[in-house]
Amino acid sequence: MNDLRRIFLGLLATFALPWLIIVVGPTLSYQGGLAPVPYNRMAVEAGGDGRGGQYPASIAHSTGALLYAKEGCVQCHSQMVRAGGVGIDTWRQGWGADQGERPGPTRQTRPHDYLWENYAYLGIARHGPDLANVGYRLGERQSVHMRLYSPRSLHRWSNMPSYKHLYRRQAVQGEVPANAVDIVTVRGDDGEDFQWAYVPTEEAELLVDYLYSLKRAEPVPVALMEQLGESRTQGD
Amino acid sequence: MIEKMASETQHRVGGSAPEDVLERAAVDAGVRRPVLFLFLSGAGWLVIASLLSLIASLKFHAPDVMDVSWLSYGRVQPAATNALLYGWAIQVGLGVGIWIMARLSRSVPKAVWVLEGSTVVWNLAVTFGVIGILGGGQTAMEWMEMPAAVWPVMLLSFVLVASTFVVQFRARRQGPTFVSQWYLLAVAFWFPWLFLTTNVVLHHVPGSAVTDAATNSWYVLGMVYLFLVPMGLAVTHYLLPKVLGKPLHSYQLGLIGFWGLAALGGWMGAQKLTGGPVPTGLPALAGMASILLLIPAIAVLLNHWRTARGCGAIIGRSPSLRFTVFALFSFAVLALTTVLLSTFWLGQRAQFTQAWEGLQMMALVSFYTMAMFGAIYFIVPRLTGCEWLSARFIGSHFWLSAWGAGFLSMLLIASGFAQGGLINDPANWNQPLEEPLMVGRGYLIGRTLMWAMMLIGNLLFFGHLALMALRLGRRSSEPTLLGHAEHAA
Repeated sequence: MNDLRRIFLGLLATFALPWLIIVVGPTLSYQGGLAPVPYNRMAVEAGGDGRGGQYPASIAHSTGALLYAKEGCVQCHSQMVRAGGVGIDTWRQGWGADQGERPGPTRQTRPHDYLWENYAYLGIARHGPDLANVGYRLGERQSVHMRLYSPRSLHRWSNMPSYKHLYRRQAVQGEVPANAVDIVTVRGDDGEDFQWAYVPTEEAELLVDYLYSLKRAEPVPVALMEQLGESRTQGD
Repeated sequence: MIEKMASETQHRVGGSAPEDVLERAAVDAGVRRPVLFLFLSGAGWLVIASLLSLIASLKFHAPDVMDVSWLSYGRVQPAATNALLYGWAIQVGLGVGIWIMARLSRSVPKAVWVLEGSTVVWNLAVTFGVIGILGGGQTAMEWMEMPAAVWPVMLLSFVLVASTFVVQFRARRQGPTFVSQWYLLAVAFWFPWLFLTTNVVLHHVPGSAVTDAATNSWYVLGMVYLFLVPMGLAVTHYLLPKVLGKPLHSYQLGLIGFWGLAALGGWMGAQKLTGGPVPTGLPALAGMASILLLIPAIAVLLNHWRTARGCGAIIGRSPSLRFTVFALFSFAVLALTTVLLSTFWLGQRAQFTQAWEGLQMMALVSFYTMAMFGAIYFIVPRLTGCEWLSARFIGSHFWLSAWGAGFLSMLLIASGFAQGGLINDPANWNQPLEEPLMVGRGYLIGRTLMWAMMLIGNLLFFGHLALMALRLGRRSSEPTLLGHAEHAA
């Protein structure tokens, strides 16, 4: 260990191997490698997908994704459904497309589900529910705004931060705006009561658009499964 | 036994040839300014990071406190981590590294103004980055949330500072090299490669979204095992033999530890994405490497243990060694936690829980920060020519940090396993997250208390360090030791 050159050669050799295998290889092999796959219209029984269009059916809203990043949502929300057998993600109620009382298992999320996203926000921690398929389970738009504006209005025990700064207030003139998430009555300088209405900013609307676009549970086309050498049941 | 106590001063004032003493003094004088500058600005960032962490932690159980956009959890949490990692950890590591390398190589860096200039630039970049995160410009990529514009600046200033490790190593006299020197050389090599690769891949190569996320996970554990761990081990391998006044137990164990880490450190990270949309080989390889890492970890710990055996009294009284030994215990827990989180059966349970933050805090606070405190308590008196003012300050700082850091990481790991068990229990398939949240609440309140303790400790440390840098320390040839001074005071 006296020769600087030999130390560096050793470091080079030991680090280059994982560097190539873990980072360079996957990055290059996926680069430009993913493309949408059309569904086969043939019936499922006949070996098709029984539906038209292409997979993935929903692409994440790209402008809204910037808001999602900026507000640090990844700190508490993941966007990946782990494979069956790793935790109970695929069995959790509401985490797939089916929002019924007793849904069947959903499938794990796959690389195609993040097509054309700049970065897959797979998540840092899961202090809140997974959002990979949140688009299926969000109700009407106003209730989503309510959750962002006042998270504890839905569950008293929630510890989600409020995103009040994505809402602006405007004086109510005549009718209360339909999209108002909060109404506050204050006394003006002239002694007259008037009302402030809190309405979503454009940023809040974009964030909600993004959340609605997160739908990653559509079936994987048979053609893609065959290409990957998997049967339909696997990963479903 | 007690005679050895003097060894903290011995190598400065006595016990060695006069020319040796002069040479050391020349080295200390040569690196004084840049090293003190790195320590002070690092300690300032440590206070800021503790404050931000306290706020972030508070939000978990009191979400409506300080309800303003730039302090919302999603921003203040990454701001705190980035301030801690880039503001404190990297700066203080560079400072300690410059000094240890200069001392061991007996060579003074020539262009000191380059080091100082780079430090200024680094601080500006980190300031811009942290404000960027709080202001809503973050990338949402773990441990690299700062706006993408800062990374080339940071890389350049890091390389300018860390290249002195190589320059000084080359300028050394022929003879045996020290384990600490290998680790420092390795850090100067690993960090730029890791940092450059990840930033280029994530910001500038239009790859796929999911492999980018995998690369990000590789970066996080890479920072732990290829920056924090080697830098911390450079300190422990230096301080323990130095203060005890005896050689490191085994050169061979040192070699195993070093090359074992080199061979395994670059594979880890992707186990965090087990079961996710990444190529399945990545989590598998990462988990395997993390479990194998026990081998070099055991070699390192064994080597330290054999060196320190029978020297309990000295360790209890030397401020530097108390911190160092705490850091070594944390290193053992860190390695063990990494293994647990990398196994398939426990890993999936703790995946995406607080346990991962516990692992990060174990590395960043309980291990690395404590080792660096030890180094600073050793180095600064040699740079300033005066001794630490008060053993009480040091003692309080030790206990506040030890309790704070130790419990913080352990609480997070324990709460992660407790919550993960509930979340992944098949019986809870249709339950909301209320129960895990309530179970975690106690741990999270504990986390806030621990950060509050550390904030007080770090303020004390910053003040003490600032007084030393102003040369307001004690004028004495006796080092400030714990124990007798505490009783006498």
